Amino acid sequence: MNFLIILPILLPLLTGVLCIFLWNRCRYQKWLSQISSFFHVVLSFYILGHVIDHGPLIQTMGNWASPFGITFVIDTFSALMLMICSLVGFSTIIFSYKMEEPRKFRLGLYPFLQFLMMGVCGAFCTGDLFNLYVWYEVMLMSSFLLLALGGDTYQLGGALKYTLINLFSSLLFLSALGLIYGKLGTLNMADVAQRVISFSTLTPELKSSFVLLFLAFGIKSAIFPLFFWLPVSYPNTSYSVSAIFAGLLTKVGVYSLIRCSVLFFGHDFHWLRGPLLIVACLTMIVGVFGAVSRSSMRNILSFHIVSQIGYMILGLGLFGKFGIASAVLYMVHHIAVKTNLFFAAGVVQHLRGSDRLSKMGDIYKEHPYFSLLFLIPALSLAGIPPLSGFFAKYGVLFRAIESHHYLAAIVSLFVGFLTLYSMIKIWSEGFWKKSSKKMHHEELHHIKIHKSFFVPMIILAFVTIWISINPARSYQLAEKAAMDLLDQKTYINRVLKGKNL
Amino acid sequence: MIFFKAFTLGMIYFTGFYLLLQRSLIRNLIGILVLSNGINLLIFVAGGNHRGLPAFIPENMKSLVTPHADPLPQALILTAIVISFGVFAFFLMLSLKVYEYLRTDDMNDIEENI
Repeated sequence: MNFLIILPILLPLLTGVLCIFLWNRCRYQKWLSQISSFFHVVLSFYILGHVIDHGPLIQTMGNWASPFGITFVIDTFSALMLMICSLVGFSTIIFSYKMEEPRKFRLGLYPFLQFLMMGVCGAFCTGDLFNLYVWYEVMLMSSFLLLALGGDTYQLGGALKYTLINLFSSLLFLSALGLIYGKLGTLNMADVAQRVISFSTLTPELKSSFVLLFLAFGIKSAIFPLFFWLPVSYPNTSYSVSAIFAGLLTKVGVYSLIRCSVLFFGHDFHWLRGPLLIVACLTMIVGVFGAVSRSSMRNILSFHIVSQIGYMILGLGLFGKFGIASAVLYMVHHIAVKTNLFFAAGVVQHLRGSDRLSKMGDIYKEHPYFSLLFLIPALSLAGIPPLSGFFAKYGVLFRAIESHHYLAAIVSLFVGFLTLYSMIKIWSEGFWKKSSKKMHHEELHHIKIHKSFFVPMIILAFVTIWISINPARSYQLAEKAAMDLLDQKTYINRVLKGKNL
Repeated sequence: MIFFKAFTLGMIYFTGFYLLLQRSLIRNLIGILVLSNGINLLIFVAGGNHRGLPAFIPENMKSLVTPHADPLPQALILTAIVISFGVFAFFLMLSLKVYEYLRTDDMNDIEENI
């Protein structure tokens, strides 16, 4: 039994439980959460190194033979996701300490953050469809609680919509699992893939149940016709919670979509390709137009999540080693950048009492370092050359031109342009504009930015900068992840026959 | 028999979706409840039609005798029931909170007032 593989799940679970025991002692909870999530980061870096050197980690719980027990698989893609998620978790825990009202800690913010991390990591590690459903529920349950934590009235509307649509998507997910089990007799991902490959042609009956599964993932990842819950719920919760949601939740949906579609249909992808490309382009366009029309920082950024999801789906739809690799790189880059921008929105709210663009102004004059720190993720999101977003967008664009999807290439360029427009809008309205006399509150202009706001922003900016200076190495990693994904035969052999090739 | 089960399932799904499309929050709640029970039935039916053949190893035998019910869907349903119960309880509390605040369960009014 290899314990390394369950440690990324076990660590947040134990910390969460311990935090519950320390319910009224928020200081201890804080230290415990910070230390444990630091170790989570160290652990996930170690796992990433191990996976790169020695190949995927595979373990079936309780030492059962593989299709019978619940299998856990960490390959390069999962390890990369674990790495970036643990970093986001760590920075959010540091960020939340000064950001949130003290009463929220007494209502259990720290334990729920830990349980959220547990659900997210579980979803990345599992190799079983039903187990994936369970991790989704762990993640959703804690996200419901975090979204409505404190029970303020402004949170209720968003929480209600979020809960209802996610319950519905869980029900679709479960129906899809029932149908797949009825047709294939298994829910182990490798076993499902093996049986799907063994069919000479895919019947519409089989395709339909997988489409239902992808529809459920689509709701979670907020793709085009199914994204309406996201821009209403994310801006209506506390700032550190919306930052961790923006980084992690939709990306778990995208991860599952990439994992399942490539693993089950990588040998015969063309029937998924057309729909994915259309959905991706529409997601990008609708998301970015929504963002252009908004006037507060978190609303703009929430719509940008939707439009950026489009790029990842586009990378998946373009397929091929390079297409998937650019989707993977895009996810890693996007998680770091988006969380960082939501942190910035939180700091702006701290400085000005609101994140509405009309209430902002003069931030560059008063806080030049913070403004520069905001510029790194903002320009990276728009895809300005030396930063990580450029390389991620370049990969998607290159693949689109290479496979003669010129319309998709044009759309992605156009959306990049509009992204730059709305980042400039935030910058010039919020940071450069002279704040008008009427809302000039003397006391607001002497607030210092606490160092616990700077530390998480610097950590995530460092990730962005690392990708920016090492684009070749990042692409190597992403391509390795893509090769692991595309090589269905090796995955199946490794999981089902225990051969570590 | 299978037609009867399929018909029942279809009706349960129909009822669930119909209730979910209503404007009243309490009907949506009931819709979720009906639908999650329908899904449990779906998973159960997906395990195959085996009547009176529990998945027990008979006495004096080492392994299962082949026509037997599939135990896995039963385990899956058990998990699904527990999860849907927990999530439903949370959703019920949230709806109660919304109702206490707005004194309405009409989705349009909720949309306007929050």
